[in-house]
Amino acid sequence: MKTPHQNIDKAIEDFFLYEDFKEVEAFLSEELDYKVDLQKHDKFLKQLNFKLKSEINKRKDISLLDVISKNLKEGIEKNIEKPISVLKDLIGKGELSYQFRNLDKLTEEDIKELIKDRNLIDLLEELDDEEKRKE
Amino acid sequence: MTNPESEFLEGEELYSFLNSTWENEKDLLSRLDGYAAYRLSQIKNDPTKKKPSDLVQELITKFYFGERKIKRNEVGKIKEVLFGALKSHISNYLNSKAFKESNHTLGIGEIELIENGKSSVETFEQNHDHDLHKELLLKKLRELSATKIEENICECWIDELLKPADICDLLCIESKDYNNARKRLLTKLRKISS
Repeated sequence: MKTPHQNIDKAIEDFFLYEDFKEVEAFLSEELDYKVDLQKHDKFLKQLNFKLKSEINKRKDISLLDVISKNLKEGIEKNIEKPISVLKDLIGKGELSYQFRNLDKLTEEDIKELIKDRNLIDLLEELDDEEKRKE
Repeated sequence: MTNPESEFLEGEELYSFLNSTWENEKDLLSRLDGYAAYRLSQIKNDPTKKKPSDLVQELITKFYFGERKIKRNEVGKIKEVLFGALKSHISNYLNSKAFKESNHTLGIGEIELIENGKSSVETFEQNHDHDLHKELLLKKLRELSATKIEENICECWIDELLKPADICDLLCIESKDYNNARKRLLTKLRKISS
């Protein structure tokens, strides 16, 4: 059996949840001197969605970075032409520091560091095209 | 990003569901805000000075970023899920250390009695006496100058008769009179129920 307080709490919740919202607004305004700020909520939802999009893109980039660096590392180990040429291309453009010039010694983390500022989708497409061409 | 096998909504499916909820339930955030305002209005001294909308926005952010989850079988009752979560969020806030150190709030089942000028807090869950609990609540309402209609509505709520139309029928009153009395009753209950 619920206590009297629990039943009263339920009645109060039902009022805020289901009652005609004009009645709720009238109560808030007349009894609590409180006005719900609709614009503030709209602004909050817009900001939240913006933050969310940034977060999704960040997550997508992190997962792409994992896929591509693994692909490139395997390419070096198996001596596959395309991944190696992609990395050599970076060296040719002078974008690699001296420590990265020995491809065999590159770790996946080194590769991530090297490619993180590149357009990852273009890079992935470039590697995928080569694989499909071979198939 | 979306896993249809998961028990919970995740990723883009979750974001799309929540965004459509705000579209379909235009006043839902305002209802949550209103409830938070009511609960915070019961507090005499809030050291953190949070606004009702702050609490609501903190909660909604938790749903978007996975700190709170929505089960697939809860999508049809999202209003109730969000309301339940808000109650728990407010309760955690009121039980926080910073808050408790500067405040005494009445918990569920507690009532502050003022007799002969002395204040004391009675905890009803301790004696489990439903009728005594009910009688003391009604007595407290009378001390706050509740009208007979307000007292009767409260008695209906205590006895789990919650639908306004049913209460109006039982008490033989018009819905307009019910609405007016309910407003005053809710204000009085702020002082004796939390």
